[in-house]
Amino acid sequence: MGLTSRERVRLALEHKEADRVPIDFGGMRSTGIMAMGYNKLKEYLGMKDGVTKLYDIYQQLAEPEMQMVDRFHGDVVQLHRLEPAFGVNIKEWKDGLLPDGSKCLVPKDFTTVINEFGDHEFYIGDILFAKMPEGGFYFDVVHFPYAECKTKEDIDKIPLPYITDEELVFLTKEAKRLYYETDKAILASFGGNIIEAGEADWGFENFLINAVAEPELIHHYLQRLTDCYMSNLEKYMKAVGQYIDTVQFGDDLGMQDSTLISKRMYRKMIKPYHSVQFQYVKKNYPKVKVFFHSCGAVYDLIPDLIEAGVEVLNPIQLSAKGMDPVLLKENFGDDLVFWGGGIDTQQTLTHCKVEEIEDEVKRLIDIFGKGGGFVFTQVHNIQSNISPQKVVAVYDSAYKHGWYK
Amino acid sequence: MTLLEQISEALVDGNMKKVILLVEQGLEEGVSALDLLNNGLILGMDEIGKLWNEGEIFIPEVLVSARAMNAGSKILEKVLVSDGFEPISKVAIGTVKGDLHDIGKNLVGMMLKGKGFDVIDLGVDVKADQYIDAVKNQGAEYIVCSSLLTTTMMYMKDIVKEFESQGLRNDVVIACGGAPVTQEFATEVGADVYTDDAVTLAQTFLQMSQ
Repeated sequence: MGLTSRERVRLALEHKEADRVPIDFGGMRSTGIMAMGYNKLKEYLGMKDGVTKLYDIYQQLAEPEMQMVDRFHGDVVQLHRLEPAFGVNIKEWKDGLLPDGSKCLVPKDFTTVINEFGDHEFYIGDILFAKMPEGGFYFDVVHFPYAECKTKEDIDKIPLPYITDEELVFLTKEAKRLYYETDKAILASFGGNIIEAGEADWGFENFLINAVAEPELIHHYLQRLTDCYMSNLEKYMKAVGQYIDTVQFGDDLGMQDSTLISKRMYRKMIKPYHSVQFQYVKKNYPKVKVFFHSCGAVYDLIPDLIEAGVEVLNPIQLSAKGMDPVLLKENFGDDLVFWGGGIDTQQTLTHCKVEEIEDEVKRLIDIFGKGGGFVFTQVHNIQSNISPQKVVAVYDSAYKHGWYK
Repeated sequence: MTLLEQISEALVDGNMKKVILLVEQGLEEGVSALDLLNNGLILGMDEIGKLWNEGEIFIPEVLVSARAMNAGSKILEKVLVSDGFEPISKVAIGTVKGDLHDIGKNLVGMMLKGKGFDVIDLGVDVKADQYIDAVKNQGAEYIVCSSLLTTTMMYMKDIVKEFESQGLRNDVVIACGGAPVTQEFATEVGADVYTDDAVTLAQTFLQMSQ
């Protein structure tokens, strides 16, 4: 009997070689495929039945259907939050259209209006919350509730995203369904963002300026936020901890050519709030691995991330400065599972010919796969303009070259 | 330490209040606005550029210093205009159509201001005709096209083409940048300038305008 997907992923997470390198096709919000690209892929593969669900409005991601996951030998499924993006719940769905006119289901409460310039606008109540410019591919947040906060009292007035009983019921039901009705490993999309929450709540520049100029104010904000997260995390893990394999956190700490912030600032302003969440999981749920997503050139911060409690790192942005696969595996391969880095999306997938894909995939599997500790997936989401032929080449190459001898 | 050195130092420290006080003090003491700008604020911003490029400081520190620079320049602006001050040249910057990410573009603007350029910020989701307008009607001699996304960066080609079709291509220097943009891509779309970072871009423009 061969290994099940779940067993395969668990071995990789334990830094052991399974029968082959496990594959993640769209099991996380940075290992997925945009819905427009997904529709093209379905058409190319001749998949006529089924429905495309746009579960992540922000990044316009499709929920891969099981038929598709199996086609690409995917070993991972995602346990979503009830409101994966923009506070829109995914309890019920309705017919919708993607910007290219192709069909999908969208969350029932997701309604946009098109303004005079052709931009799609998303409102929460009267507030313009996010916008997709005409000709664009993503929604971006344009509302920053903490932007005008000057004092701790101002901060304390703003409501926090406490987990609801309704969500806990949803999570338990979903976790059980995925656990009993599939043999896939379950990635639980918790969140717990610190720096990204700050950027989204205050505005990118405003938050980073305040982190330098008003550290006490920002610590107050982050402590209050983390208290909320910890209360959520305890309830969350109690509900789903026994079913899941890895719990996902995330904060983009890297840019193309360096870290976004200094090590010193990471240690003082961010790490304490990462650490308390990660260590809680490690102490109370040792079988559930702490998964952390950060784009960019984060090599210099990896020792700190490991110390904070990170056990799985994603997406391993190969095109960013210093993210050398050999050095990453050599220096951090004992402590980290690399979940990503299977092929560069920013340069290779965007510009390459289909026949160039296999070599890169094979080379990276050879490096990252050694001794386990690797889950194959491309660096970040597949964009809508990437041809289905390329997607197929990526995953067929991964399956072909992923077998351990 | 001279007053101008103090201004530079306060700017490097990101101390906006001190920069404002010192610039006001300088004007009261009769120091010329141009001197305060060039040998105080710009010198400080130049130091910030160097420290950033050397990996000594990061985005948050750059932003805080740029905020101090802006506060200082604002005080000097009116005086400079009445003194008949001419900036080195005008640069129109923007994040291209379909893309709302502006941090990289803003940092480029800060570094250009720090070299003494007049920066016209066209904002985000900028179409070709807005760049054309900046060159035709606002006197921009350089344009900077920024993009964070592999999908939106393709629009840079349309911008270059639009300048060509309007017969304006030789009137403007076009630079491309942003996370996914490489020298190869910039050459492919027909841009004149690509640099790996904002500091080098400002230096390159400065050399070109001398």
